[in-house]
Formats: sequence, C-alpha cells, structure tokens
Amino acid sequence: MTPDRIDDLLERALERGVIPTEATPDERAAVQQLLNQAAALKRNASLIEQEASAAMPTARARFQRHLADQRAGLQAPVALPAKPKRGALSRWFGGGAMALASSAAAIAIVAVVALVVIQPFEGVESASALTVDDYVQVEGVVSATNDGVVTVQSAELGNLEIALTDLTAVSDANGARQASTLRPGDSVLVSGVVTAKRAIAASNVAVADNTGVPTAIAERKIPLLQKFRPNLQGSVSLITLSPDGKRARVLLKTATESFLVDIDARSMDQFLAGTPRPLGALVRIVEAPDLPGGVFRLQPVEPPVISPTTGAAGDAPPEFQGVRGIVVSRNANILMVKTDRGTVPVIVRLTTSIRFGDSGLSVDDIRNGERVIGYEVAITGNTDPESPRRVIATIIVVIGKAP
Amino acid sequence: MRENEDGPNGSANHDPSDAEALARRAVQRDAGAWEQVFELHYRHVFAFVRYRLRSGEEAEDIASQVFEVAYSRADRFDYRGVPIEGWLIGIARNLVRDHIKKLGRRGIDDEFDDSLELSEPDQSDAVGLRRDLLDAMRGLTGDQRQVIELRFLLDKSVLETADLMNRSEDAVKNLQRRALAAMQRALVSDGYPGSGGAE
Repeated sequence: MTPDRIDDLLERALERGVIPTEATPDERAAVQQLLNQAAALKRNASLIEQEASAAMPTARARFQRHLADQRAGLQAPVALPAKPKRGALSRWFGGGAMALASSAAAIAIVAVVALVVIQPFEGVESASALTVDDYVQVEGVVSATNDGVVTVQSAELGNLEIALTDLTAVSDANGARQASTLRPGDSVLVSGVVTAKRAIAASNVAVADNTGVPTAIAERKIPLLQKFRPNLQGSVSLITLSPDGKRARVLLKTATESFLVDIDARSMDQFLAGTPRPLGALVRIVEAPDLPGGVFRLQPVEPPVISPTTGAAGDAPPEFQGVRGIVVSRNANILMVKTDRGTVPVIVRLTTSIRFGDSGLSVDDIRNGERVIGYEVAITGNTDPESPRRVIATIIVVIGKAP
Repeated sequence: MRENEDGPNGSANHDPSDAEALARRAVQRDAGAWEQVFELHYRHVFAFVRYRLRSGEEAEDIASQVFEVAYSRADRFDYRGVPIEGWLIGIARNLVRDHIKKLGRRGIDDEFDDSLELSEPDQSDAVGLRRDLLDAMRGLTGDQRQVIELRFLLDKSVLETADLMNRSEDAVKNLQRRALAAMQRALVSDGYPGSGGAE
C-alpha cells in the first residue's frame, strides 16, 4: 500500500462510485475513509449551491446595474441621501449585499425624486398624510406614465408621483409583470417609502383591471382625528408606518367624510396580521384609556368592503398576496415560510416593513442575532419576477412563537 | 439574459475555443460577454468565497464585487491560456484576504464570524452546513485546501484542477489524498470518529 497506489485507487473510486475490486482490505479501508470525507464535502457543496442559487438573482441585478452604470460613465456614490432608513434590520435581512444591491436602484430613485420634488406642491391639506421615510400603502389609478415615474391619482390624496425601479415588484392576477407595462387607467395598489411629500419610491405594485383614465379630482382638506367620535367607522384607504415602527396612521373614509387617524402600533400590527387586504377593509375606530390622546385602536368590521377608489363594487381590486405560516429557515434575505399550501420562499428587502406585534421581539433582538425561526408570521407581498414561487414581501408581521 | 448552458451545477466546461472567444469579448468589455461570464461563473465564485467566510451575506457581497472588479480590470486580463474562471477565483481570493484583514483590524481574528447565523446548526437543510468540515479545512495547507475546493466544492476534474493550479495531475491526486486524510484526522480529534459523515 503506497501513497501512489492509494492516489490511484481513490481517483478511480471517485470516478466510478465504487472502490476497485483489486484493492486489498487495508487499501479498501484507507480509501473508504477518504471517500467518506469527500462525500461529506460534496453534501456541503450542494448546500452552498442552494445558497448560490438563492443569491444569484440579486447578484445578477446588481451586476447588470454595474454594467449599465459603467457604460453610462457613472460612478456609484458612497452615500445615498434618499436611502430608506431601515438600518436596524438591514444587516439581518441582507446586510451589505442587499444594501449594495439596492444602491443603484436608490440612485435611480434619487434621480426621479429630484425631478418630482421640484414640481409645484398641489395639496397642502393632504401633505400631512405622507411623511418622508414612512412606509406607505395607497391605492389609486394611473393617470400618466413617464420614463420610470407613474402618476397615480388617489381619490383622497390627489396626484402622487410613484418612482419605479428594476427592484420594484409589479404583479397582477396572472403573476409578475414588467413595470413598463403600466398604462393610464390601471388600478394599482402601491407600497413603498415616502421620499418626498407627494413622491413614493415603490417597492411593490399590484395591478388590477384598467378602469379608464381618471378625471381630475378636486383636492380636499383631510382633518386629523384628535377627539374620539363614537360609532366612527369606514374603510381604510391609506396606511403609513414610521421606520421605527412606533407610529401608524390610516386614512379612514366614511360615507360622507375622510379622516387621518393615528393608530396604536400594537393595534395596527393586529389589524395587519388579521386582515388579508388591509386597504379597503371596513374598520371601527375604538378609544382606549391606556392610549395617549389622539391615538386610537382599529377594530375590523365584517365583512370587508371594496375600496371606493378602485371603482364600482364587483370590480376586482388590485391586491397583494397574503402568506401566513411559520418561518422554518432563513437564508440571507430569504425566509422559508411553511404554510397550509406548502413552503413559500419570501424575499425580504430593505424596504420591507417588519412589525413585531405581540411576538415579544424587538429590533434589539434582531440586532443580537434573533432569526425568527419558529415564529408565526403574516406577510403581504407579490410575485418575484425571477421565480413565481417566491413572494417579495412588503409587510411582515411577526405574530409570535409557534407552539 | 441567457440561461447557463453548462449544466445544473453551472460548471464552465465549455469548448476552449468558445471560452477564448468569450474571454476576448470580455477583455473588450462587451456587456453581453460579461453577462455570459456572470452566468457561467457566479456559482463557483460564490462557493469559493462562501467557504472562506462564515457570513453568507458577506459572501454574496464579495462574490458580486469579484465581477465588478474583474470588469473594471478587463483590459489587464491576458486570456491566452488562462481560464477566465481561474482569473475570477484569483480576484476572489484577494478580495477575501482583504476582507479578513479588515476583520482582523476590527479585532475579529477569525475569518468565520461567530456572530452570524451559520455558527449554529439550523433546522433547515438549506443552511445546515457542516461547519465542522469548514473548520477542518482551515487546518490544510493552501494547496491542499485549493485542491479540496476545486475538486469537491466546485466539482472540477483532476485535469481541470491541475490546469487551474498549474500543477501536474499526479500532484493534484497527491494533494487530494493528503488533504482528505488531514481533514479526517482533524474531525476524529474533534469527536467525529471515522465516518466523516456525521450529520
């Protein structure tokens, strides 16, 4: 049994999957131990291969943007002033890779937002509805498109400029679609981050039937509800969430008037976790003695109603997918969520709003390495254009540790 | 973007003349060629980096940097007789080395960052890496480790490995045996008797 002999036997065994018959018992034992090591390494390699496959779409998009930037002679800036403030969780869900991956898209957002914010401010009354850096969900109808920016007319807020990038996930009832296919008249549900008073960098867009180009809507003053009014109920037509998760606000539309209503964060989390389609849901505003003045609770009222924004009852409104289940693993920024319909990969991005609800978790826990495996989550999002099985999350509510 | 045409593992065993033509276009910074280079080699570059870092997130970032750096240095790449993958792996090795040095300057003297998720076994197969194997690999010499990576992690043949390492096939087989034996000894001393396949 010489080293060269073992080298030869090992290589032939690796090629054929069996140790050559001419090997002596001692040689066979020696080669078998080496084969075991090789087999263990190959099992590990297959796991790395899965990680590589999961990472590839983001990496491909990043490299394509790099190529485009280089061709355009652009240099990526170090600091991005319009980057959403999601730092506390960015390391957990993607860290440097995702931050860098989204940087070029953020550049595009900065560029289009720069164009947007120099336009005249149309409605001072509704300005308080949107706060820069807040997460937002709003419905409306596309009234114009212009090279990566679409104008969406919200029945309550008027015209909003929605910046679309190649990271914006756009889908309709048939699955993912290109942002460039949006046309005036399309009913849309937009989520994203407010980048200026009337501008949103969209992370997710759901599209429904084309209802025709909307006519101009007169701007209206929307008061902020500061004192409780009994029996106040209506449909939710806007949701905003602050980056730190502590502030939440809805726009409540009743039969005759509309209000901005500040909502207790815990109540908002319960509402989001329990309501498949928050926008359009019928809710009641509830007072609670333990809440500060001007902050209320939401109480869903059955059955949910169709939002007036999207047209007559019976029209299919734009909507995101709902995924509810238990997180069974996390690989970089992809959660594997076990649901009644099977395991669904969910992509978490820097712009995803993560709510901790009654889970007992906090941002600090995440900073300290908590991975939410074993926690029940309620997720809304839409189809990943790279893979119809995957969902790109816009909101994740961590409900609690599964029993 | 075309799909990888070289099989499910993304191995880049394409015709040498095609590879040279692709490299020639890449040197000229042909965007289509670079998209093809990315599709052909990303998985292997990621795997190479991933085996050196505990953090999957950092591995993703560095694997992406490899292609960005390569593109920026395209005009310096001499494709005559040098596989483009070897060049990419060389860039990856340097970036990882720089990254580990930075960690060291920040007081982290171990390239496997224990604060990140792969420091513990996970419920999921997708992230259930055998960290003990990776630790055992760290005890190998540079050449032994490279042979292991090329042969078993990147699924290269002995001939390809010899080509990439500029060594003879016999030398590769010798390094392969020594490396596997060294890993087996390391695992036995850490309580993984014999099998090397403890799950």
